[in-house]
Amino acid sequence: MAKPYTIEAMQETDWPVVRAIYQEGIATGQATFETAAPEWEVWNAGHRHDCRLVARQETQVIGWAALSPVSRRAVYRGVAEVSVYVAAAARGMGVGRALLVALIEASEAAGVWTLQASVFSENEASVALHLSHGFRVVGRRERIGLHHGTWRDTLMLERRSSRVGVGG
Amino acid sequence: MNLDLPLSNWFTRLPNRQRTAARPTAPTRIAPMTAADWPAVRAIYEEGMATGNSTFETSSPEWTAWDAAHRPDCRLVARRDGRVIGWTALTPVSNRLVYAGVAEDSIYVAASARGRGVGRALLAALVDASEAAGVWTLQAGIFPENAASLALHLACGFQVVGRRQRISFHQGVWRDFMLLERRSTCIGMDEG
Repeated sequence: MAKPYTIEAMQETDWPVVRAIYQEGIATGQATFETAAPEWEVWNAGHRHDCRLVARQETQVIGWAALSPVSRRAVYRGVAEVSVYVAAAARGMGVGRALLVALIEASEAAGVWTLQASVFSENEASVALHLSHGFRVVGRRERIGLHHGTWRDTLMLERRSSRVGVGG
Repeated sequence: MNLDLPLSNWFTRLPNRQRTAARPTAPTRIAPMTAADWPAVRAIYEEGMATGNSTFETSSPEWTAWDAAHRPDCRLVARRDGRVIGWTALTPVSNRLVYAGVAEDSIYVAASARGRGVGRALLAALVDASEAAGVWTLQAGIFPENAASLALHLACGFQVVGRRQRISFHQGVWRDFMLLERRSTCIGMDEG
């Protein structure tokens, strides 16, 4: 039986493990166009400061989730892109699901009305995870980026909140 | 690429039906935008905003903000009798290197010059300029109600990716937009 884990706010001290888990995801070749994890300063500047979560099992971080703004334009301040990564050793235990559920709640508490995700179309597990939590497929971006020598498509998914951004 | 061509040269790229329907009365030239064009460009942008169907923005920026937000290459104007009657430009969609060749287009035509193929000439020239600049994907966010812009983009090789639901708030209403993209078939083809 797997040990229980909790979803908590990410601390700056979690970064080395967060980065290692990101690197593991990159190594699968199915998670992101990125080919190397950045330094803290770059990652920190590229992500919203709220809505950074980790899954912690005893003291060990086994997954993380965070949001990136999609635009500097004020009209899109409530639109953010999701990243969720789970350590290779902890996959298949529902950690990604728990992180995504908590991230959705945190994002709505922070006033985010649209979450979006760009997922390689081959990454069926990630597509299914998002679809089971209120995301829908917007469409396919054709050969949107070059990844290890191949121009790859992504599926754009979005989850429009029914609680935030509904007023007139 | 020579952008300073008479409008008729751009129309030779189009099917006959569109060519005859849209020929303007005075020669229109597509040329690079200069900083001196900004007052006219801004006025045309504000005319577009006033339609309520072109952008979520509700006020135009100062030159420095506009200049910082748009790619310095691929800025074009349509000029007739020395007057700017339309413009187009690109915004990067991301700071991430993998998306360096993805850009979002803006295209605006003066109210008095609409319906004469100026937008089509600008967008055709923008596609050429973007490919010359190494852009492999152009994208556009268009209000579903803006049938003219949707038709223009579809005619220039864009396709609909999908609909973003209530993506932002515009004059009291949460509005959708259509995401369109045009994937180049001459840029971003090499693998390796």
